[in-house]
Amino acid sequence: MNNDEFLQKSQDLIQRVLEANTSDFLELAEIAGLNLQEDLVGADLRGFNLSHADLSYADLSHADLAGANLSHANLSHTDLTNTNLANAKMVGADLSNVRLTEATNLTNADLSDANLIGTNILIANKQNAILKGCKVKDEYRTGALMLFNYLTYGETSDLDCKNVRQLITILFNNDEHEVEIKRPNDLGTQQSFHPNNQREHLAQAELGELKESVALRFEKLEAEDVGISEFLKECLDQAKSLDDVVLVFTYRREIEEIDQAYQYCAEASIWLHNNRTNLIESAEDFMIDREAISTEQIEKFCESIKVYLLWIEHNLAKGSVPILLPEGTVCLALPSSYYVAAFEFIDNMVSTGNDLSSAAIVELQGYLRRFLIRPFRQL
Amino acid sequence: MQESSPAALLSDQENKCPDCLFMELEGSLIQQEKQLIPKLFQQKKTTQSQINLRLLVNFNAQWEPLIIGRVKFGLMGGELKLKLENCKLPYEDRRFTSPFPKTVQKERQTQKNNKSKTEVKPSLGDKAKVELSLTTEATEGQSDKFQVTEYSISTKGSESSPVWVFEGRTGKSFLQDQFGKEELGILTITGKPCCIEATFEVSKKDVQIIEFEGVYQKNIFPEKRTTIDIMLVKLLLDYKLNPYVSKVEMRYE
Repeated sequence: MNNDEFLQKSQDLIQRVLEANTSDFLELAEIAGLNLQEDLVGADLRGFNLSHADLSYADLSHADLAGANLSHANLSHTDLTNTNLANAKMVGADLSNVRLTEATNLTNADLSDANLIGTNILIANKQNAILKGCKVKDEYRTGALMLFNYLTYGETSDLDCKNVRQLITILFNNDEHEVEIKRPNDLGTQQSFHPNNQREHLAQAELGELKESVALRFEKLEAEDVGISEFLKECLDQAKSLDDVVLVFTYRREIEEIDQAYQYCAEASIWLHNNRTNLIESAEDFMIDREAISTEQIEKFCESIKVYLLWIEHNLAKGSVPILLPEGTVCLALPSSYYVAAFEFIDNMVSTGNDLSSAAIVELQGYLRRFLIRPFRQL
Repeated sequence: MQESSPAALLSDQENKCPDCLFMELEGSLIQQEKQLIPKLFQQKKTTQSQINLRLLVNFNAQWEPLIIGRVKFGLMGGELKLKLENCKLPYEDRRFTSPFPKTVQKERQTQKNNKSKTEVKPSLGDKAKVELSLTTEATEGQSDKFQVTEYSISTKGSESSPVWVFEGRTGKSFLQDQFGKEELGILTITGKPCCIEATFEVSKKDVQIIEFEGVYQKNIFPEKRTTIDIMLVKLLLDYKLNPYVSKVEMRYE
């Protein structure tokens, strides 16, 4: 019985398709009663014209769309796991919130003016993909989009980080061969605190263009992404050099869990405010026990520690990237190694901090290490 | 340890499309030898019995007759699901040995640098990717090229419902492989009767239409061909391949 039904149904459907007076896939799909959202898994759609098609929420995993025309198609929320989109035309397509993997092939695909919001295009294979639509040079355009997608999507596997870093390194360095790709945690801070490093020569105009294009993209962000967008806007506004833009990438956790991170930062800031005096006093005792320091020196030393902690507290409250303190704000009373020792001591005290959530401890320690301990070590 | 004959287990199998998938499950009881001299400091072995579970699967293409003409299809992957009653198969006891025993042997003979060790180490989230790309040199200096097949087998699921996921990776090619008597794992019997139900299940992405014969002209629009392909996959799934392609039931009392 089942087999008879199978035979009859298949015959009917084959007949209907063969007799159809069209070669348009979307029309044929309608004739055959296909469900575009569900039925295109693994389908052979090579070279098909699917422009302006509504494929939103479609499962296109394992499908072969090589050379297909998907211009202005709605591909939002589609599953493009293992999908072949090599040479596909996706001009102006809505590719927002799409699921991609490294097996998604976007080689030579034309993504000009495509909406990639909420899509982590970075992980896909996108060699030679065309990513127009930003008012910057070709290479910068790609970078800006990657940057944007990376930041909005917040995907932060080490591989992604490396990719972004590599890209940024390539983008912002004239001679990429000289640049060593650094570990995520090492990059950013130390450079931004050393304005005289190799990146000083970079053209401000290009930075401006990049910022502008990324900012433009931010404006199109959906309502729920506002938190991230504001955070990043602020970061970008404050960015004085391309290094500072790169610095944003050290905020992996913040980007991932932006809202929570803000709360934890605020918590850490309040805690620091309440415990600052105590911390400084303990650090003072610690330093006196350790080294022979004159009273005058230790007073100056504690004063500068206080300024630094205030600086961290202030930035923690906003969850923002600290801007380097203007020269002369702090006069160093002692060699930098003393500061490293004192901040490490404070860092250690923070780890045992009472009434402070573990996530807030992480935030506070992150700030201390990134913006105080490490830069001082470099001095 | 002693392995008793497979006859100790009652088994029943159903292969609905034997050409595209033939599956056999074989279990042999392992009985722990009683230790005559108890050794000091040695953990006392439990008296639990175990079953060594072996799997034979053969993938190939299958012709299915239609009212006019016929269609050939194959599988690109699928899931082997076990349902265990009164027994369990923890991750550490899951195995899946070399999927290409013959080819690997050949490789060992001819290649000095044996790069592709094809043993699958099953663990949670572990995706064993098996990649064989062999070029063996004959004595006269000619080279024989073996078919490049790429697929992955991974395991998931709980102790009482383990799953092996077969995934073809070579783009559009269906599986044409035999996995002969592969050791799936060592089942630990926790009670009686002990029942094992193995099903091989597929979904849309796992079924590939290879060709039609006598159904349409060769110069058919690709759009029409794809539409028919998609529909046929759906119908095959609805009427032939769901809820499972093959099923084996075993019982030990």
